[in-house]
Amino acid sequence: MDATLISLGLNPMPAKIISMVIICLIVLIAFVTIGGVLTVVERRISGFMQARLGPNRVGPQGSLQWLADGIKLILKEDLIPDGADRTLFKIAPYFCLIGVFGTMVVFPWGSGVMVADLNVGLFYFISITALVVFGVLMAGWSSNNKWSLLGGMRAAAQIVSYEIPVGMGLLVPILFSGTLSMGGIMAVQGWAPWEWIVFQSPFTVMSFCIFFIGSLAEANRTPFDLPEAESELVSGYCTEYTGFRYAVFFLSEWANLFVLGGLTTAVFLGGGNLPDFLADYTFLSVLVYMAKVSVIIFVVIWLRWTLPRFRIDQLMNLSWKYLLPGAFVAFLGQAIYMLITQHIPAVQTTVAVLMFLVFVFILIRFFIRVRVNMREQQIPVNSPASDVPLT
Amino acid sequence: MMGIPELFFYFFTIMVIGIGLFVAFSKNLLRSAFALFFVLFGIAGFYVLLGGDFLAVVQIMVYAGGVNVLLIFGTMLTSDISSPKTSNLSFQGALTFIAGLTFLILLVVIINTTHWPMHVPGEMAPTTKDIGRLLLKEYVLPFEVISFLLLAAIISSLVLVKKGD
Repeated sequence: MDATLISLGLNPMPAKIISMVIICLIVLIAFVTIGGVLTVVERRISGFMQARLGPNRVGPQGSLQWLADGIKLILKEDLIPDGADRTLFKIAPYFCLIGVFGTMVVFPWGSGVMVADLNVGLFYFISITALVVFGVLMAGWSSNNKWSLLGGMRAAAQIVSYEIPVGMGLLVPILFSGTLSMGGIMAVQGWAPWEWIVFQSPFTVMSFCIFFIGSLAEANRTPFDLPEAESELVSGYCTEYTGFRYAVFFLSEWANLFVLGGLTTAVFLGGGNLPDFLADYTFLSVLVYMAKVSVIIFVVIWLRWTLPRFRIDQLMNLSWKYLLPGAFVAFLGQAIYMLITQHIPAVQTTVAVLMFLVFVFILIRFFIRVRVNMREQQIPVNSPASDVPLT
Repeated sequence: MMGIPELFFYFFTIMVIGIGLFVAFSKNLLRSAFALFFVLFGIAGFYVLLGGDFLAVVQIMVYAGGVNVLLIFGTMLTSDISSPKTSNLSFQGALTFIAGLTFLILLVVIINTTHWPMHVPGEMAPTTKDIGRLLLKEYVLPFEVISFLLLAAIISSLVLVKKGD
């Protein structure tokens, strides 16, 4: 891109800066759009799961609802409560936004499509999200409201304690690939499922589960959405927020959902890798990557509308007493496994294919079970309320 | 013409010194604690300019994301933090002054007498491999001693907060 601008008669330095700004704008707009669209996707899926319609009026199948929501939120009055710390109250949402959007520097959109493949990319990924904790604490404190403060404290405690299992869970892929760069981690995996890091050994499966559960909690998703538990804390740290600042909080939350899916896909599920004869088609790689991310996002939304919320002590127990020791076991186990099998690749391939077959078997069993359940139940799924017999 | 690294250097310098002064002189302790974040972030910027990418991310993760959050927690749990008596501007008298002055003199002496290795950062070279090799080969004993110390600290804090018997 710099080359094109230089050929148009610009100096190298301004050309470089302009091309950087353009790339940043493209990624920023993509992130904002994805965050907005995900709000509609989540509401439609939740509507489907609860046998109701969900937003379906604005645009085809309600697909433009997020634009309408955005306009409504921007037009609302920007209220700042009496007694609030005005400066902190005003800047708090942007910390959350920067914390999530900072990850897009190393966000892999497919093999070889990324803003910057930092040498410490994965480490940067998990450390820049620390800004979210700041935004949440700041919002909770400056609102001058007990619910906000409790919500902010809970959110900070939760994110800080789940950062440790998530980080330990990521150690196993790092151990396997021997690099911290996102591009490097994607490059050691292949296109086939048994070449993905997740199916390499029983320990990688374990670390994948720990990482996934932990990052659900870090993204404040149900069953870990205690900071915003409506029945206890109204809306937690964003109780006092209205208008655009509220929109910023929610945009960062849904962008975080996308970031979660992207990180899981890139590190454990082979990213956007394609078979060798298709390796030149970057667009196809982005498509494959997005398809995998969509599946992860669907699972996360599915979990949200299926599981009830944890209690705060159960949440902390899970993190410190189960996930953290589990992550240690996975790390040690993977190290020993790699030491034993490092000279016999045949064993590694066999174990990987075996793990994949077990996964496929479980998936098939699951679908059979779902079919049996749907056939056996008395009331058809998604039937109108008037058809339900009163007993 | 000033290159981009110099520009960033001056930006980070102004940020660290300016916000550092705000941390020291703000009347509101909690705002000081929040502002400290920018100081720590600016220092991570210096590490990047010196070519220490890993160190910069560690700085953000440990200091900005860990220590500073704990500091804010501590400040929030302190009672009556907005009263002028507990704010930054209340001087504790002669003893603090002597301690501060001694520390300043110590720093000046150290800065002037140490021979600092000069490093002109060129291209960003990956540092993670060297750090890993040094930690697990040359400096494995200090590394293990520090790990042991941290383990002892964790266990002792657990013993301290254990309720009853």
